[in-house]
Amino acid sequence: MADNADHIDGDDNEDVRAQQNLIKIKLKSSEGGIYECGLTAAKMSDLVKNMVESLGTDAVVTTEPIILGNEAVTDAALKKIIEWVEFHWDDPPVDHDFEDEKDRRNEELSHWDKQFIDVDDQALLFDVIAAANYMDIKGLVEVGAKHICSKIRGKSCQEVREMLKITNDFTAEEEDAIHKENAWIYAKD
Amino acid sequence: MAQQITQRMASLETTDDGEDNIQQPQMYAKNSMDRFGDDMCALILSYITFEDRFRYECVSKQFQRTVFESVVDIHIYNRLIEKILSGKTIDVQMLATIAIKCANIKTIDCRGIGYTYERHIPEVLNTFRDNCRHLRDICTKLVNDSSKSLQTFGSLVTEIGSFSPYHELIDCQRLSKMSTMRISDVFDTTSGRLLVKNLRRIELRTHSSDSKELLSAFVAHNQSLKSFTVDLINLRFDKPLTEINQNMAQQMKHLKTSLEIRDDGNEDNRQQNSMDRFGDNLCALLLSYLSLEDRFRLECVSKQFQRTVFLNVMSIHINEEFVNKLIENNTIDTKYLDNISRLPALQTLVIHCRYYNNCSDNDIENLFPERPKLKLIEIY
Repeated sequence: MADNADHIDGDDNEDVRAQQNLIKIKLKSSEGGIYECGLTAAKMSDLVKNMVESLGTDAVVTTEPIILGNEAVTDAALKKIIEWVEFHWDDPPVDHDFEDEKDRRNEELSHWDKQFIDVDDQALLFDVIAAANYMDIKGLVEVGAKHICSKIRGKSCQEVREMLKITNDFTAEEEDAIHKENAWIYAKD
Repeated sequence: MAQQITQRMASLETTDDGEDNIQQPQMYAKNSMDRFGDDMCALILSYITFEDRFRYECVSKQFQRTVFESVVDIHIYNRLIEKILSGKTIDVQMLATIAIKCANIKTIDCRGIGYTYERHIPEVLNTFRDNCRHLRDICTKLVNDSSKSLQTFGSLVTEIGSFSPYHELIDCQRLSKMSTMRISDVFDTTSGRLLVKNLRRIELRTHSSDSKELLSAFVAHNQSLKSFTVDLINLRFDKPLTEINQNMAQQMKHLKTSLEIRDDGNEDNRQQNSMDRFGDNLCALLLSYLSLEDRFRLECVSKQFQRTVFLNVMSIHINEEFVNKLIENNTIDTKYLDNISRLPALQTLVIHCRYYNNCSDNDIENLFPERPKLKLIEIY
């Protein structure tokens, strides 16, 4: 079993990935909660992937959980992250061709992702994004970023500040100067 | 009070994006975007539109620092030109301010500037070249007075849209992609010299079988070609098409281009004047110009038609006329919805005739998990 698990590390074959995902590893949040996650799914996090690769699958499966020490990795955030990777682990690999990358960036979120990321608790949303960034899960960071950007679309600066709880650290004069520089934005279409 | 304290987080040593060299003495609320460091903030803001970046620059100093960071390519189009016009000329100061704010721009694409504002292209390119030191790729179209610009920008031009042949095209040594009317456009009109070499992609609006020699010369000097596209819609569909395809296929046999007359080992057996000679990709491309109604009508022409006729359908709009003409019993039921949503590329389904719709919200909701590409169903 142990040999098998190590042998299939790094193999991109779909069946192998599915088989690998049946192996469960444990992830520990910064609050101490321990959660199980399929190996292939967990390896969507480059942080976890690197740990698994350096420690060997065996060690990760049989020994202590992987500790995710960043304070954003709360119990609730980690549960959400595991839900996301368990849904997306069999996504086709990302094509890094520049044109495809551009298309992907402009692509709307899928219905599932929209529902997943649309959480009422903004602190949790930000925890998920920060934790995904710490765990290096690019796809999930992108989902969070697209969600925030779609929320602020069409809003005024003041509305954005209120929505995202951002402190306005500009003086009135500084703000006016920026408005003047960007006056072309408000020109009629 | 205790709750308030737990709701806030100290960020004395590190910010959430792991930049441990930034000392932040402030306390940030967990539900505030202020908790993120500049890198994370820039990453999030990289998904907003170009114009919104300017709109939100004054949200906070952090936004001001980060909101333009990810602008690495810019598309200039008519609407933008209209906004920076002062009378009949461009407000160069305003354009320069835009360019200075977006200092990381590497690629500028002017092909979206229409005929009305084409004359401003050189000025736009000048301004960005002077203010964006990372600029290295220009995608443009060549207009009447482009010959001077080409001498200046030629080395930066990597893509060219529609153009008239210019001798100065020879200065565009990094040109990798171009679209033009016909193959003769890439030859000097007087000397007949080939002006473009080492292209990766070319798109022609039309092609004729009497350009055989030009095509040979072009292919000989463009061995790096990965894609050769002829806009089939501008060709007559009978003799010329088959001749052209034969000719091109022969010329490019040794190149790995995307022009493929698919052969699965039986090409010789296929009738040259039959559409059966085409592989699925080309067949799907040809059929992509059909109306939706015709696609349904022609689905049963052959198995290849059945395989390919819906391959490019990304959105369907079902209205009363559609229901009356194409749906049995004139009713959209769950079975029909299930079938239609199986179209491989379908992303958007709009049903504009609630009266005929027998499906519940649940039926519609249930479709999404099984159709990863389907993103939107709208019902009016």
